[in-house]
Amino acid sequence: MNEDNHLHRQDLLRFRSGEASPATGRAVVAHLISGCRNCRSQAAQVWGLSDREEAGPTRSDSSATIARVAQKVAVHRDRFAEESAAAPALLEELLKHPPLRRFTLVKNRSRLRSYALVEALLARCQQAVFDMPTEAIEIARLAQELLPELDPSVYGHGPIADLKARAWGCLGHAQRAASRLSDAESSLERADAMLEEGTGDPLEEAQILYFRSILLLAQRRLPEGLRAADRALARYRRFGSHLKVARVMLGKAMILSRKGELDKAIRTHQRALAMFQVGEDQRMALAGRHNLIWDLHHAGRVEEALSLLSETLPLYYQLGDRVTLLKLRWVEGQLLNKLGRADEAIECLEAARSGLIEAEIAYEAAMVAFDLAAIHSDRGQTGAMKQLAAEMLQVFQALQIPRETIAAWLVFREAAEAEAVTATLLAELANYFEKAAKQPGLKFRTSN
Amino acid sequence: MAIADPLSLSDEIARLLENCAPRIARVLDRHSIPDQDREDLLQDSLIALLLKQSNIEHSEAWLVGTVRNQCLLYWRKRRRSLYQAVDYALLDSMARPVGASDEESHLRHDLGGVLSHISEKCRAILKLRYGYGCDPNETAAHLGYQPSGIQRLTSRCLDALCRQMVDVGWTDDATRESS
Repeated sequence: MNEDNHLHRQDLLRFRSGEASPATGRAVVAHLISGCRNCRSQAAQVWGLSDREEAGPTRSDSSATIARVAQKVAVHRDRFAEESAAAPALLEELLKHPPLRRFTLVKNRSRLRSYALVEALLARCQQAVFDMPTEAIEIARLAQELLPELDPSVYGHGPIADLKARAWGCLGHAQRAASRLSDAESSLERADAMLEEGTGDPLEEAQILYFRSILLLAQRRLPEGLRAADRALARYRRFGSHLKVARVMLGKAMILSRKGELDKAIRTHQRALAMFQVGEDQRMALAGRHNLIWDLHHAGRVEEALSLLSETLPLYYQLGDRVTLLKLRWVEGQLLNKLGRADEAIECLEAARSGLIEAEIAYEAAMVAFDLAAIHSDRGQTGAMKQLAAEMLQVFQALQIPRETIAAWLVFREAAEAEAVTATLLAELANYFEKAAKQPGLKFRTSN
Repeated sequence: MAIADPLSLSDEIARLLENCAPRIARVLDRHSIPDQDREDLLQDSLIALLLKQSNIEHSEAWLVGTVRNQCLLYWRKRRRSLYQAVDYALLDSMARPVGASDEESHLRHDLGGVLSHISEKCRAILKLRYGYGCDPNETAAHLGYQPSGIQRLTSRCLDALCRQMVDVGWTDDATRESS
């Protein structure tokens, strides 16, 4: 306090930056709360809470500042270019080693301490998310291990914080793919916090929003997921590439599909797929086409679904990994059944089911089994249904599926034994297994 | 005016800076970034541009957008440290015995007056925090909010409280009359 019983400007500045003593802090708050008009007005300006600009030193020429900073930054150009060129080879070299050794290397080898290598690791992490989420998690962790080794005097605090945000985002995305939803949520919260420390790069923010939208889809928080996707889209449309826009639109289409808004989902898929030029990111294009076939089929547009499927077959065989090809068999089986070709449908669905069991993807194998059960039920093949129920039970027990899920399967087996399986029960069970894949321990409740 | 020597920055970035400089200058001026912090802020944006250049399609829009976002983050960060200082000072004051000094014994009354001017939701959160010493989890449990969202909500309430503390249109007399 000064002689007139008002606050010193210096005390207000120190208070804002957390450097005031506890006694000064208490005095500042008590004085302002007591309603001193002069000090409130001064605090509003000093603390940047006033609409009026703070009266400060005369502003320097911004263009001169920009020129000065550009000169300072230019000295790093060659180094960044060299690091960027070296990153792909360093990445391959690093990933040749066993996982534990990789962690030792990033701590001990100074030539690995580059921004470009962390970026390359995170790009690889994203490529691995779909097929190998556990490996993607490991790569994101490796990138995080390297981050504290980056020199802020070279790369700047803001760009390093951007990269930390991206690393947390990629980790969260991979955890989501591995069905570790609560870990994924925590990682994305850390990513958001790091963005606050970063440069404000809208593309980094857009990517985290996209990851969040996909997590919200997995959590079935669909309206929030749509909002996150729309926010990501707004940023990519303004600052990003058409492929990034297309990727988010495909994610948005999946959310619309899950919401049951199939017409909107189909239109969004079609608009997104039209953005891909020949040969561009064909894996993403394949995933989008697969989802569109699924939506067309569920919207009852079987002919369109089949036509797109046959058009996409070469891409499936060219790019499809084992799981994608099994999913192809699954959707083929569903479509053939819609066309009344039950024998061929059963053949496709059986191939999909046994392949998914081999790949230990039990929940999706169960969902295929329900499609098979529906056909057996329609044809009155009660023996086949009983056999299916018994076989799948053994599979679940062998794969150590949670007991709540096994209990749900027992409901099906009992209904099959009693020859009392209904279409409603099958739909409820399929819905339950889809949810339980993301929420281990979820209990099944039938509507009856 | 030449922004950068084309030999030291790539031609593309030098040209980009030539084109963007007036817009960047306007953004920095509009957001009243103090001189001493402008260079740091710009330096981070330009380094980020050099590092991420190959992934950026619309460089001009990106650079201006990034500088604008960075100005917003700059003020948000400063406000956050202000909220923390206010929060700490209030918790510290409330932890002291009532009547320790005249000023402190008035504080509770005056704080009640300030809180009466903010939203009911924020009033409830801050009363639990300063009146009953509840931590964020206890506050969330008491008011039925998600623990994950209570920090963000408390920050918003502290923002409202800080604004009310410096709102020169309101005086303690008005509150005392109404109480």
